Amino acid sequence: MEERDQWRSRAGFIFSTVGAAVGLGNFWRFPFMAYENGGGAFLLPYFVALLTAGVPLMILEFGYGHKMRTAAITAFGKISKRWEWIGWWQIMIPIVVVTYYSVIIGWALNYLIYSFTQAWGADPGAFFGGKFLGVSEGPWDFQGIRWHLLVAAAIVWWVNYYYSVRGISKGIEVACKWMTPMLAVLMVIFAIRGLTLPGAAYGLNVFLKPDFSKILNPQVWVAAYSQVFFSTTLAVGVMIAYASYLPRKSDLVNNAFITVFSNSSFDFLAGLAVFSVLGYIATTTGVPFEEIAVSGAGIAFVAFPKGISLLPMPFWGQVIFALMFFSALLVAGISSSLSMFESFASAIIDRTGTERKKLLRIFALIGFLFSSLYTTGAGVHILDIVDHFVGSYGIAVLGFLEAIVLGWIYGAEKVREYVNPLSDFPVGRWWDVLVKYVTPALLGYNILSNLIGEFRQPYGGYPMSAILVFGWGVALGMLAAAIYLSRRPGQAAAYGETKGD
Amino acid sequence: MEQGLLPSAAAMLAFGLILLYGGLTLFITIALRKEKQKAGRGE
Repeated sequence: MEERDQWRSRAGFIFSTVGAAVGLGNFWRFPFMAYENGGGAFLLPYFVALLTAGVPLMILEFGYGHKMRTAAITAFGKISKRWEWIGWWQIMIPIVVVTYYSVIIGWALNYLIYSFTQAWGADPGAFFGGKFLGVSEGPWDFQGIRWHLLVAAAIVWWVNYYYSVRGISKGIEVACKWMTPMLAVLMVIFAIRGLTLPGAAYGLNVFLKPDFSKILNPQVWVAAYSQVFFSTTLAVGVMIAYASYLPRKSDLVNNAFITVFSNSSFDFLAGLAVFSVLGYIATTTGVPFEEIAVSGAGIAFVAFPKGISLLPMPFWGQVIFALMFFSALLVAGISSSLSMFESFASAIIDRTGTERKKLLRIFALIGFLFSSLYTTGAGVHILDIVDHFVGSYGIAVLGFLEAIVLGWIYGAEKVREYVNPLSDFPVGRWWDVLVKYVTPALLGYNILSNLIGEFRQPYGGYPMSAILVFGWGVALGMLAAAIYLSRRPGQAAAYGETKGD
Repeated sequence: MEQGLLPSAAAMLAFGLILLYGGLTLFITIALRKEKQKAGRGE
């Protein structure tokens, strides 16, 4: 068995956890969540959610991972072997997500090259869906592989492999120590450039003008909690794995606050940058805001290229701005996908003792083969279905189970008593209440309201066969695989040392 | 379409900036101070 690696510095750990949390979703999910849920008024439930769910669960994962000194599978297995399947299920999420996430990062890589000539032309929407993605009629209409997408995805897989195979201190820490600060600098530059454009105030008014009547709507609170929860990379084995590599005497509580607040600060900054550019486009072209403001990948690959081409600066200035924007996407995506690799690698190595290099080589090859499915004409449809089911159900259910198992069965008090003497400042009994009652109640409500909506109308108007195969099939297949794998005999050493208590 | 920032939007902008960046600055300052104290104790 390999000797357990360790973070070299506190800054390296924080840059890596922030790098894991800040991803592509920060650019295109938060700004539209706010826009659709009360504008500036959304900040109130968002901030409450940050303090009552984001920070408490981050402390729980940091504390539990650090105490057990092992990644998700064996961390849950140490409570009792019967809970090991939760750890397996947690790492299934990044395994599935990274297969399409790497393809989206590959889109950013392609666009980085297109930036030199602004290859998207006068109609970036038609270019993106047509010439670039070649979007087919539906999820069963594959139309062959798009080679430029496949090559870009291969490069992304290779970069992930390159850093992950070097482990925590020589790979991920080294990468995130330059990637996360670089991302912060790029985001600040964007926000400043965006805010100084004519029409930026119009975009900011759309983004931030508060509609306080929406605060009384429970769905707005659900949206705020799900945004905080999904955005901070909780319940997918990443933070438990990362914390397990911290030296014995390490702060846990303050690191959790810094990670969650950094991620939310990126969210807010992205909102300012995105909406000021959208305001500029709306003002310049006279197109109504509602037609420009499309959530999801369209904001990065359609609206932003359009905005860049309209920037009041020489062509080379626009090129530099485009290069910075797609570099930011690339860096945000890779630092997140590295954490997905690590969630899987740490958990399997801890459980089976497999050699890291051998494990990651097999994982990268098989994962890349699955990625190729998303580089076909049907890729976007399949990606949309898989992402919806994994995101809406997988992560929420896992967060709910984690809060129940760690909060009630293992005991939130034990984690609190463990983290307090190590940390810059302690947490009180209020933290137990948040972990044991508030978080499970809110996530339970979130799951139920999503399920009810699902049965009322099939997601996205896709054929039921595609929903069953790529949606429910993937989601339930992950659960079945987790239960099966948890019943296989494990490496004795994995449970030999720091047994529960 | 061109207009200035509405007072209510400006208030929410200030609210977000103060809470998020103020909070982040506070926690980073605490961390730096504690690390300095640890270094002073030779830990």
